[in-house]
Amino acid sequence: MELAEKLELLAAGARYDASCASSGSARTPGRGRGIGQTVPAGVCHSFTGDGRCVSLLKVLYSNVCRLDCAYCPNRASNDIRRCTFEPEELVRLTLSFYRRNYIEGLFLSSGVFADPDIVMERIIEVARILREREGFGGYIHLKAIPGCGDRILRRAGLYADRLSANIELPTTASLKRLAPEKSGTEILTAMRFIGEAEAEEREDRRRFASTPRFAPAGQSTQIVVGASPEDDRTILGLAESLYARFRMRRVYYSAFVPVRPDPRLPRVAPPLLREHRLYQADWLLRFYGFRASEILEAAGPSLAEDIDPKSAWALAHLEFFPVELLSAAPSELLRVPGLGANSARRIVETRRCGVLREEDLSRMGIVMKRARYFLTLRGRRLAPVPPPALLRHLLAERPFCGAAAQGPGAGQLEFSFP
Amino acid sequence: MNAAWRHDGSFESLIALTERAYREGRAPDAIDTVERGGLFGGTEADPSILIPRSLLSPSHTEETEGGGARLRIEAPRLYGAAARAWMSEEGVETALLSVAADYGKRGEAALGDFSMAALRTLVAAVRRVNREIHRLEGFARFSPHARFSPHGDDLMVAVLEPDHNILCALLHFFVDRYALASPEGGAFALVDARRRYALRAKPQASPHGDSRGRDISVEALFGEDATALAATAYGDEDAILWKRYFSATENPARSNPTLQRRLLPLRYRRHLTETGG
Repeated sequence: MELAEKLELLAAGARYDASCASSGSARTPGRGRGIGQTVPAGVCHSFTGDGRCVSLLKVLYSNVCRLDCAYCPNRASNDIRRCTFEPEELVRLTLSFYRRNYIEGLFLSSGVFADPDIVMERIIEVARILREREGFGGYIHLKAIPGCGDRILRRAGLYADRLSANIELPTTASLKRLAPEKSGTEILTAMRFIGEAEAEEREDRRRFASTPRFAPAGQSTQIVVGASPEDDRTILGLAESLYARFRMRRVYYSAFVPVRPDPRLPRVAPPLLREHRLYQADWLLRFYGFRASEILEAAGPSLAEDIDPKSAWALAHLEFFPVELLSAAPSELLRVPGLGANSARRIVETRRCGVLREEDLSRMGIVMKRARYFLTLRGRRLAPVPPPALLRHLLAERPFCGAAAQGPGAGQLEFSFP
Repeated sequence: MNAAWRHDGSFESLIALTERAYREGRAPDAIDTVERGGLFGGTEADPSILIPRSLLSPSHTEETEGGGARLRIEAPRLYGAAARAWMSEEGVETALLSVAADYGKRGEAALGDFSMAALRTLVAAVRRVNREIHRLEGFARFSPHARFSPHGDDLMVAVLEPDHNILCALLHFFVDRYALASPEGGAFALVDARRRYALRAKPQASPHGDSRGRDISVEALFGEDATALAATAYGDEDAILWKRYFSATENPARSNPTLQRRLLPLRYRRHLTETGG
């Protein structure tokens, strides 16, 4: 099979993996040989038709798979053309695409075509050639094949910027039903090992600066949404737990896309809006100091469709408001619908250094459309508070036009003052 | 009375004025700006206006920037803002000098007081420039171009039409990205098709093995030379592979052209390999 055909097939096989970031790693240029660097904010090189960032050459090493996971387009019982890359083919593609600035690096996953150790060794071999022989300093994201040994996983972490083991389904029961050959324990074991190895490396580095880096961009995982009956409460609870227990940098949510009819699967794909709301809630978990229980206490078992999770929380906690702009802590400002991290920072800086006036707020780039119902300035409300039903209507978003398969602002530079 | 200060449009001139406002704690009543004649009128561009002199001749530091070196050390955030203000070409010099004067009096607090209109104007311009730089770090597409290669090896050329004059900032990014290859193989050029000039970089290995300290030889091309570089850049087998890869990553079940258009505005697509470049 020609390289171009392989590339098409193995890229199509990997497109359901939502992970696309090249952020979180600052690899400085090599010394005298090879090419490449990574920058902490990551770089988006293009955007696909669904708005996903293209940052890495995201392909499977092989789409030959002995597992038969119901939701997976590469499942063993699916009648598709199968092929496998040669390591040198992947090395050549990565380097030539990188040199043309199409990509930041390589994302390499694979079907489980043999024993997990063997599959993982093949994946690592590609990364090894890139790093050791070619001196490649770009981003490498390797998929950890559950069930492979710790020693092999450790080697992978020495070449990769990021490792990921996909948990795929939110509960053991669903995993058993839809991916009976996968073991939840093996997946969690891989995550635990990566988390511990990262912590260990950080500790060692404090004493010995020469300690080799282990997956400096940490680990991520993915949950398929809508293939199994779990509600948003279960999914967000799991995500919160993964962030806390395994030092997870990122949980991706991938709305299930039916590829082949299966009695175990829903016939209709979940709305993309559900995925979008989960990313918004995830953002609140990671950067706004919310807990999953708070978000879902307001929303019920599922996140509201008509308003974003922060607005839903605010409506359910009107007693928390109004927040006084001149005295509120940054964490309180972050709870106000419409105020993001940049707005909160600007408010805090301005009230410390100068005089905060109402007419300046919108000029400062603060979007007051929703925030004004929840704020006071020098004790005076910025807008009269309408009855709850009307307020909900005013906070509702326009019909979904798709934000952020990857979360608000993900993979993009935080534009701050230089 | 604070007389008009003269600004010749160059990077060095703006940095010198910024340093003066910072040092004296006062801004001028007016800025006497020399017209950037010919820049957009189709005639040859003036190198002293388009490119910081220190980029082409690394020995020009203290002399060419006046107090710029001091400013960079004493007030690096202000220096960065001045550099971005110059790149923006948006005429925000008055706001910059006002902020610089305020910075001279109040220090860092001046950069946090968003109740000041001048700071808001400056920050908005800085953000637009930063956004354009960040986007084009990803959207620049290089093609091999043998004709202009200094040693007959491939010269990688990227053609851009940036909203702001950011080639010098992009150059630093791509020097770090490519330079490190063997010194013979890392030559590249960035062409600003809108301003009709190009920067060609030939990285050389540093004697210290340190990327920041690497010697870089940068050459500027103007007018016909620059546009010829752009016009003769060609696609190749890898470009075709990339197009096929990009098509394969499309997922029709999730199609959302509105979002794609927001994230990848049409004006960038002309030079992208995967969208018809």
